[in-house]
Amino acid sequence: MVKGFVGVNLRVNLSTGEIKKEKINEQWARLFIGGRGYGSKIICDEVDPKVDPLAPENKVVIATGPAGGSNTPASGRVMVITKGPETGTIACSNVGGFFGPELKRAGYDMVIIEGKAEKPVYLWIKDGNIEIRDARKLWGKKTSETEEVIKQETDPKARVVNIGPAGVKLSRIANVMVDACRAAGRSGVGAVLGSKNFLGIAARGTRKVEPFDPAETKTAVAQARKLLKESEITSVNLPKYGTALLVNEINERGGYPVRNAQEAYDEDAGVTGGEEIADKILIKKWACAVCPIACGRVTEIREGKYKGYHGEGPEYETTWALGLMCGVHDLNAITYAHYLCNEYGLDGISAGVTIACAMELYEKGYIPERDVPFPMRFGDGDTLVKMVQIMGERKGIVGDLLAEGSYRLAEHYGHPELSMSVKKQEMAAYDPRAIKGIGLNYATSNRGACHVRGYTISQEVIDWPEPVDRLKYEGKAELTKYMQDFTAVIDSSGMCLFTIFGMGYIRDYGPILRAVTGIPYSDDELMKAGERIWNMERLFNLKAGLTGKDDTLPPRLLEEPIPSGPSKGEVCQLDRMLPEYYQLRGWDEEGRPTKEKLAELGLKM
Amino acid sequence: MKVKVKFFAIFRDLFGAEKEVELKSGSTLQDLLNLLCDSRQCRQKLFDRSGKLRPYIKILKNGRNILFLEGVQIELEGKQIQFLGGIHAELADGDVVAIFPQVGGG
Ligand code: SF4
Repeated sequence: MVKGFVGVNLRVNLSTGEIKKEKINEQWARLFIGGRGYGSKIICDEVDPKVDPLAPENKVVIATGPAGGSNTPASGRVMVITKGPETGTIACSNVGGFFGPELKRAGYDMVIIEGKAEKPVYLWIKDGNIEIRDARKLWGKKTSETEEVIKQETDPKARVVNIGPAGVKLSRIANVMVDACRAAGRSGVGAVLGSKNFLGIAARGTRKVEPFDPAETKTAVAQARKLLKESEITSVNLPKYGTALLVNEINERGGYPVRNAQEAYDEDAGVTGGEEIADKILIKKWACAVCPIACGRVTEIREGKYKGYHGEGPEYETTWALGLMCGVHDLNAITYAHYLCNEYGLDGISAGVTIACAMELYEKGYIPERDVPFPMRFGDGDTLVKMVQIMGERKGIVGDLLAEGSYRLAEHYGHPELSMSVKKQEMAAYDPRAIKGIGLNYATSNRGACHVRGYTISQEVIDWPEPVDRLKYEGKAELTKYMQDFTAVIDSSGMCLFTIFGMGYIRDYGPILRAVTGIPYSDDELMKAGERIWNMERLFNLKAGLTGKDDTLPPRLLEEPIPSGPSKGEVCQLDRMLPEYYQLRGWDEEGRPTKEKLAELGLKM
Repeated sequence: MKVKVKFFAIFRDLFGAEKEVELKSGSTLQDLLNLLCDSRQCRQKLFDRSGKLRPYIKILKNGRNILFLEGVQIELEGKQIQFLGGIHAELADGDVVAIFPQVGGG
């Protein structure tokens, strides 16, 4: 029996009310590790890739990893996996907080949600017992209120995942909130839960999950903690300044997308960065379960119109998307807009990039005045806040379109090229014209534009664990593939990706996974599992109808040179990386895994 | 000549956020750093005991990581000498130098 896992998955059919307990498949635990890998295997086996993501036939897996529930640093992560409503691809969204370990203590590794409830419900899991509860009175309420009431109705110590108004209104950029402050943000996973009339889960448990070899686990965990302590990133700078410390790093290189990526540098970007957050709004740092890094920010707005509001964040991505991407320098408005995204249950990245897209469409005269409730120009913090509100409430013509994400909005107004997205999912806070490898990663990521599926920024900007020249094309195909496979392992283990800033190599993760599970996979075998997961996700997308043609970037990033700043004149020549990437992946020229590659990985088309 | 130097994260506590520095023409980054490190504490932050720049301190010259600056070739006493980019890179009037500790994010 493999350890690390509780050993039981919970399957809830909302249409019939049937609840099943299923044993963890040991072979899958070896081949797909857990978390993202294992959960994706369930989706790939059970969901027709062509299904409408918002139909009852779609399923959602909420999955922990085998490292979770132990003392392993930053191991409380949860992956929400489904077919995504924004991209039509397989989608998975990762989140921290305290829910993951609690779910395991309550007796389950994963929860598989299928069908559609007749009326809104939530799930209450207490020490192995399950109850499907009426959620009608909470349907459409803000996420923090929902969390609070669910705790009152269940147990004040319960840990809660839930959707907000955006998920209920089927916004394609709706997230799933954990502990009312952390988000499984990306890919619209919240809308899929909304489509099932499923509000969320409360869990509470007292069981202990035993590792396979307690002594070995102790040694491996001590070594991991040592590495995280030795790295200045994870022991000093992330705790002190949070992830938004990157604002200046990226901006000073001229790779910080500004005003819907019309520019990539802003002289004053620093006013929205980590140093300023620490100075102006930070109350204290915050950590997810068993995390020694504590990159989270507990903040309060201390001056201006939004004075007195408090919450969690912003992070690097949201301070950018809701900030300079919309031309906004007002940290208070950005922070308030971030809080609002959390309350509506909207992905802060997609929300900001969609608003930026709307602002450009409006300024260029592509959105008629009759459609807009107020002028939507770049740069004004109050406009940003109002736009988040109409987006969260799907209010009016533009509000309703904003909730669909930037691609559908821009397409509606006849200019899809102004959506800064790949496969219809919005890009992150790195301009591929200035940092080439991340462009290849955006283009090939299995859930659309995404930085954390292959964070080449670690090498290209952070110089960690080894520096790579951000402007060179050579070697980027190999780097991207490596980071994508490596990340698939970490995402499947239950650990946080940010541990890579101290634990730079697979050799730093292997000992923990072996000691916890008792599975004797070698480090190479783990990397192979990462590659297998990547290819399995790719197959799902191909079967869903996507092709190699979808592995591209918005035309702006391919063709329009950066107009000013340190990376002036740069574009992203994707064609200098993509063919080599396909080749290294063992795919044909159209991006389809070859028979040989599939045989090597034990996968079938 | 004048160059602008920007400091970030923990370096701000020590050096301030931004400085404009007057340098002799032909000065290198090394000269600039020597000038900036006017106390032992500052020096220790940037250099190890042997005087080498500490690993992972990131220096950008006009947005380029100095690790990847092209080397310069000069002729000295009839011989071609290859200077590394990096810390030996020559500065020019109006250059912007940004100095970061090891930061990460996401
Ligand atoms: S590094 Fe940050 S996001 Fe990751 S587990 Fe720790 S606190 Fe959470």
